[in-house]
Formats: sequence, C-alpha cells, structure tokens
Amino acid sequence: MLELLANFRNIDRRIVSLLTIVVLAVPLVVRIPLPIHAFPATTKLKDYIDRLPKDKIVLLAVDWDSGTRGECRPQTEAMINYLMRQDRKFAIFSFVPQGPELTEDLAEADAAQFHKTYGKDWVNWGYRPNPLVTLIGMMNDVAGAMKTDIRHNDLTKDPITQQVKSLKDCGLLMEITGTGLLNTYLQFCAGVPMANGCTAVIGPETYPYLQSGQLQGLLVGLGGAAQFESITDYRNAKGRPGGEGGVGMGSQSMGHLLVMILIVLGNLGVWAAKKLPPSDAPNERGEGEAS
Amino acid sequence: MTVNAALLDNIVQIVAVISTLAILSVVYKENAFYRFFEHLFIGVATGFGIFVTWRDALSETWWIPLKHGDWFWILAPLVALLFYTIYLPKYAWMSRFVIMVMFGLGAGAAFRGFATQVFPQITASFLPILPNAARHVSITDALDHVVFLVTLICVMVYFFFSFRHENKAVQGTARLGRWLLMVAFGATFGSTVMARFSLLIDRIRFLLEAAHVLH
Repeated sequence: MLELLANFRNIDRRIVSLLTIVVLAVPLVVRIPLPIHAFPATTKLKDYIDRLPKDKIVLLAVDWDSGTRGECRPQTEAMINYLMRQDRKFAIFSFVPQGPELTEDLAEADAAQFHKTYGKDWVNWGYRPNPLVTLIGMMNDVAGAMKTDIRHNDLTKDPITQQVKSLKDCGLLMEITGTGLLNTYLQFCAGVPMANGCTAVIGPETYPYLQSGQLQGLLVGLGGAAQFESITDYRNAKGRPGGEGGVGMGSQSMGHLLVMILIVLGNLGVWAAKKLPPSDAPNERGEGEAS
Repeated sequence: MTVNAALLDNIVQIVAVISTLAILSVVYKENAFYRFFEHLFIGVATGFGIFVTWRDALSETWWIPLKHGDWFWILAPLVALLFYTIYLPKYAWMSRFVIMVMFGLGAGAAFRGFATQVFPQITASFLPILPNAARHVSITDALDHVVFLVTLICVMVYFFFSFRHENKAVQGTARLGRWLLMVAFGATFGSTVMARFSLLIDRIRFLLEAAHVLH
C-alpha cells in the first residue's frame, strides 16, 4: 500500500496534462450548474454603471489580445452586452493592436441581437500606439487625439465622440487588460472615473486601487466575468443564462478540484516514501530504488 | 477569381485548429511542429501589429497630412532616424539629442505619474480602527482596517534596510511582515493557476466548437 502511495510522487506530467484537459473539457459539454456569488468589487462596478446619467458615454479600453483572450474576452462580452441592454452609448479603443479587432466582432454580434447602430449607439476608435502621449492628448481633446475611427470616419463629426470632448467628460473609463497599462491610466487620467477588468494574475496587485477609490469597480479573471454575467442576468443569443464566463467557471472549478487532489496525492507520496525502507522506495523519477 | 466567404471561413477555422493543436503538442514534448507554429504566431502577431499601426495611426496622423501638403511632417521621420546614427561612430553624437529629449520626457512623466498614482494610496492608508456609527465604520470594517494597518506596518518594517534588525520588536515585526508577504504571494500564485486554466479552457472551447461538439 505504501509503495503504491509512494508512486504518487512520480505521476508522469503527460498524464497530469491529459487529466487536466479532460477535466476542463467535460463541464463545457455537460454543464455543471454551480452557484456564482459576486464579489463586492463586481457589484460596485454594476452599481456605478447603473447610477450613471443616461447621456454619459462609457469608454471601453480593450487592452488585450489573443494571449489573454481566455479571460479578457468574457469580461468584454459581458460588459458590451450589459451596456447595450441598458441603452448606454460607448466607445471602444485600445493601446494593443489586436484589441479593437477582437472586440469589434463581439460588438457587431451584440449590436445585431439588440438592434444597435454603429456611430449612433457605439463607435470603435481603434488602436493607437504610445499610451502616454495619446492619453495626455485625450485629456485635452479626444477627437483631436484620435482623429478617425476604425472605419476611417472623421471623429469631429461623430455624435458619440462629440459628447466626450475630454476624457473627463466620460461617465466611466473601463479598461479591460492583460497588461500593466492600468498604471499609465492612473498616472495620466487623474479625475476620470475609472474601473478595471484584469487577468487573475494581476488581480491581487490591482485591488489596492479599488480600496483607495481610484477604481470604481473591478473584474478579476474569468471569475469576474462570470460574476458580472450573474448579477446582470446575462443571456446568450439563444436566450440561455450564462455566457463564456459562467460556463468557463464550471471547468475552472473542476480544474481547481483536480489541482487540490494532485497536491494531496503528491504529499501522500512524499509521506509514504519516507515511511518505506530506502531500498523499497521508488526514486523521484519512479525508477525503483531510491539512492 | 472571387473566393467564397464560407470557404474562406472554413480554411481559417482549419488553420486555427491546426495551430492550436500544434501549440498544445508541447505538453507531450518539445517538437518541430510546435516550434514552427510558435514562430508563425510571433511573425503573424508582429506583422499584424505593423499593419494596424499604419492603418489606425501613421496613415491618418502622418501620411495623409503629408500627402495633402503639410510638408513639415517630413521632419518627424528624419528626427526619428537620428536614433539610428548610434550605429555610425562618426555621427553617433547626433543620437544623443533625441535620447536626451526622451530621457527628459520620461523623467518628467514618471515624476508626475508617481504623484498621481501613489499619493492617493498614501492618503487611503489612514483608516479608522475603531467602530464609529456616525462615520459608517462597522465592527467588521474596523477589523478589516486593523488587519490592513498591521500588514502595512509589518511589511514596511521588513523592507526597512537602513539599520540592522537586531531589536527583538523589529525582528518580530519584520518576520510577521515576511509571513504576510508569503500570504500575498500565495494569493498571486493561486490567481496565476486560475489564469492559466482560463486560457486553456478558451482553447478547449474553441476546439470543441470547431468539432461541432458545442452549439
């Protein structure tokens, strides 16, 4: 028995990888209805959006790309879906080249579902390099700094852009990112109401800005997206509750369970190996005798 | 010849599936298939970045005004090219002008940025540690604030290197600070695991959708 347990120290990483893929895939096919409780940071964001005057424009800075799509896309989708359902006008822009393109697809799909018109209900300003210079410019004159949208329309004639002369005129600047760009926004957009959606990796270092009042709300990782979907009663195009965030959290939870089981098994393996006489214990490569 | 849109979509989908499987194949072992698609991804991402930079930024803000007669825009690339004189020993001194300007801009921006980003953090650290109904500070809020302040002080003491930590009180505070840092690192590590799972879930979902398992 101890020998069997001792082998758990040496589970082949390919078996662990295969188990992980299977465990994450099953809940995507067979939905596991898990309750989702929203963090105060998430409800704070929804409450802030709900309190905004209807004529205030929300700016959506989509500073993410294919590398962080797994977390940032569900957040962006949940946010765009909610803004459209609430008849909130919004503008998309990004300091990451792929961001506006990837978000355009989401906005187009939601616009078709909620019968929204480009240029009237939402606009995509596109990508701009050099966040520092662009943000300083946008603080003074948004249309002057951005000039044209992603479809080459003149922003001085765009009705949505005309409501945001300076960044300070917006109702909320919501940045969704897998980068460290939030620091640049915090440094050069003083006085602009801001919120953040970030990957789980940078979540812990972003919380202090929520506590200090520099952020009005925060979505962290896939869980943040699932929580926002849950409290905004998100429904996909087929009318089913739960979007990419909610469905993904079923897989996420199963993945965490697997990690916990593997940690316990690994520790049992170490414990069992210590109990065995040195000649019987397999070494760390599982090759029979320990040295 | 016009390409059928549905056919093009299918081709894109097949290429995306092959690319995803190639990148995931590294889980089994490092292989040439993975290595090729890794380089392909970097190349495509860089090429796309250059294209979007031209389309969304340079074309509108530089090329079109230049084409319409604002000749002074020609100076922008000429000034930028001064950076590259660093490779010509005889003219390397010219690169210092632009580097000096960039340094000045960077230092000024960093100074302003530090004040705007960090000062609110300092003022937000002064928190009431006693419950006060008039100020809407409940018992749980007060406890939260105590934990926050203890963490703040202990971690700051841990990073105080101006004198040796010989005093017992300082040693104990610094040790507690180190433990509290470990808690923070643990939370960050847990979040990192969660983030990596999210990326894999996204790819598995894509593969299942491509195989029409998900509708």
